[in-house]
Amino acid sequence: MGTKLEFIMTGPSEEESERIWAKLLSEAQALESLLSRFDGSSEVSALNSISQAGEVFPSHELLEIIADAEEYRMLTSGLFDVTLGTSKPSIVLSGRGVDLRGGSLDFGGYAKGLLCRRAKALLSGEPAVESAYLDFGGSSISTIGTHPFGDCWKVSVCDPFSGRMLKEVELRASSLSVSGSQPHYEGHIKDPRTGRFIEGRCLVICEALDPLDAEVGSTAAVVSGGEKLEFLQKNLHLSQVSFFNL
Amino acid sequence: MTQNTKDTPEVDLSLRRFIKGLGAAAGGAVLLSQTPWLTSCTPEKLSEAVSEGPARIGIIGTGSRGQYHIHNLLRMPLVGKIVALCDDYAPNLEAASALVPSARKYSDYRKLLEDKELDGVIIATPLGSHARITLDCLSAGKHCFCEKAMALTMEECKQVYSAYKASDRVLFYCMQRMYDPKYVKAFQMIKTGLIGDVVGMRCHWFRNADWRRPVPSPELERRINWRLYRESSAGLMTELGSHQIEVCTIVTGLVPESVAGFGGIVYWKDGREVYDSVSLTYRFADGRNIAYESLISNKFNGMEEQILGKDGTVDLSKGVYYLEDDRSVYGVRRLLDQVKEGVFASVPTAGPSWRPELMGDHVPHYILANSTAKVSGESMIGADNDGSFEILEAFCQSCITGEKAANVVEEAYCATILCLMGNEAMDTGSVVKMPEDCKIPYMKF
Ligand SMILES: NC(=O)c1ccc[n+]([C@@H]2O[C@H](COP(=O)([O-])OP(=O)(O)OC[C@H]3O[C@@H](n4cnc5c(N)ncnc54)[C@H](O)[C@@H]3O)[C@@H](O)[C@H]2O)c1
Repeated sequence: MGTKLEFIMTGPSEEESERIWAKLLSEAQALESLLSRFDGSSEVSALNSISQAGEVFPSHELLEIIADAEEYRMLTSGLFDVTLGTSKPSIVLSGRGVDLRGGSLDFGGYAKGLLCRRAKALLSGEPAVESAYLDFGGSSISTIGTHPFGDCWKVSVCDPFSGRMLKEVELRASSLSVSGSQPHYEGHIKDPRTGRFIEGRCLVICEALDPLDAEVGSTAAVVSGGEKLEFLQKNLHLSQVSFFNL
Repeated sequence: MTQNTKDTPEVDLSLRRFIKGLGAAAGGAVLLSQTPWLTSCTPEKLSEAVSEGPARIGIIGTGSRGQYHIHNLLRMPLVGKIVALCDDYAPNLEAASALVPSARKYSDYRKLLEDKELDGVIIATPLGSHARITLDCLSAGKHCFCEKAMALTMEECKQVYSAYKASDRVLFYCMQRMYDPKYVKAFQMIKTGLIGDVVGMRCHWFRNADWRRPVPSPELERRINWRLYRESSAGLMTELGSHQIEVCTIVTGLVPESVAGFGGIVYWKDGREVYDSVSLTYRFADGRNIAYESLISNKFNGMEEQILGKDGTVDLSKGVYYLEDDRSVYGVRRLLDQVKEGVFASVPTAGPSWRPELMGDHVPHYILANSTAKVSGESMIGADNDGSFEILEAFCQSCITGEKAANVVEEAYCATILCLMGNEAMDTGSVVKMPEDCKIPYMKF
């Protein structure tokens, strides 16, 4: 997915850690081969390459993911959308088929959130894991339990341009997603309603119990330009959302 | 020139590609102007030279370094052709001759200089003879490439420098870092602010070896182990330090005003006269220092040239840099440091914040992508991919075009004078200032 996953956990022995790591890795690889835009042989790449010809038929797993993403589109009233370059309605779900004509699938933010969700579930299901801190690309953080020497996990989010600290967040088994502008990298997030890249510098911090809610929330909040924060907070069950103009 | 090589295939040369890449980059002209010595060997000038080349080259001193150059020259037939060899020690002359049987052989370098069928000369003799042979070379009208440090004494350096200024001949000193792409790139990155203001420099060269060569019979000791005796060598400073001190003057664009330090024969008490351990501080007029150390009875620290900046550090010899506030070091790495130290603090993400001052917390970034080439500094002959091939090739090209390479002689002069000042400081136990009569207009303090 073009980014780095790093995590710390306490509890398991070295041997157990190896086993858990291997499970996590295969989970990540499975999602990668399903959703990655960077991998030309992923299912999404394959679908995108033939989608202009008419209805396509994704695997059952991908179909579920598309349906879930479609629900997020509705919950965010179109601020979050995994289809790009289409005029609405872009995805027509008809039985087992999907019509992507005029557009293509891009699971960028969604895939990260989904992997975090699955990784968190995987770690929570391991009795030996007492606490864990998962960092996906520095912008998606999920936690279990607390820091070994504290009563939560404390994360400070900084302005990537100035280095100034913007907010310190205390995570207790919750997840954090940070979205927005980055130095040296314009055109990061597209407004699905216009197809244009978001202009102006901003940064959004979202916290939620579910990593995917946080991920979708932060992307949608950037697209909204900070307009619909309360709406997003309610619909996506965000415990907090903060918007900063940089 | 003897041979027309117009129809020869294209030359595939890393430095040229590198220079071309620089020229093509945004602001390439500005970048090249920061390393002006490279403008005499651009790819365009190379193709011109190749059409007239190769230069006819003679080598004086065919010992280990001389033979290393022979191997390199044989790999650049479009610009250089070895036509003459000279050594006053028969076994070394024969060894070289076996590599290039067609080359004319001389035991007296003055005879080689009379050879009319010769464009340029490589001098790879011990330091004590550099000045004399170089001066004779220039007055014989030959282009000249001499190894490393300019001369054994400051007086000789001045003579060579004046002769060069008065001559229309090309002169090179084999300070190969100036032609090593990872150094050149780093010089430019430092100049364009990668590590902020340069606040200091730390260079060292550590080996664990006696610096000796086997001697077939005792009367040859001083000839073969010339590095160990003061009549022919200025020791670690000129042999190793010169490369590293030069890097510091290039990076700062300035020359230190004074030096203090201590040296001694700590371990190899075998009759040698030069120090086997040196530790010096060079001081610039603005208060910045170069900490310099070399020792040949412990190699733990290896060879490094660290340029310390307000915002980061470049380790030139390794081709890596480290940033003080490294935004690529987020979250988990810092968290790991915290947990190991038993600290509960906030984990910074998406930007810099608190970090413990631990060495291990710095992440290396490579100056040239895909290049992890590391020169250990253990070889007494020369390393692969250290710029020696490229500088020699640039010299051959200059022999054809007659174009001098900017700054090369000046930098070698500055570095050699500074190394000799260092030796004087260690010998006298005093602070030695740059002698007024050694200053040249090129030097900025
Ligand atoms: N740039 C570098 O990284 C680098 C590396 C190694 C050596 N060097 C330099 O190369 C030079 C030679 O070093 P080396 O290790 O090859 O030494 P060496 O002793 O192996 O070779 C020197 C040769 O010069 C010959 N010689 C001495 N006086 C002569 C004279 N008057 N006429 C003809 N031949 C003469 C000797 O017989 C010997 O064969 C030194 O200046 C050294 O500093 C530079």
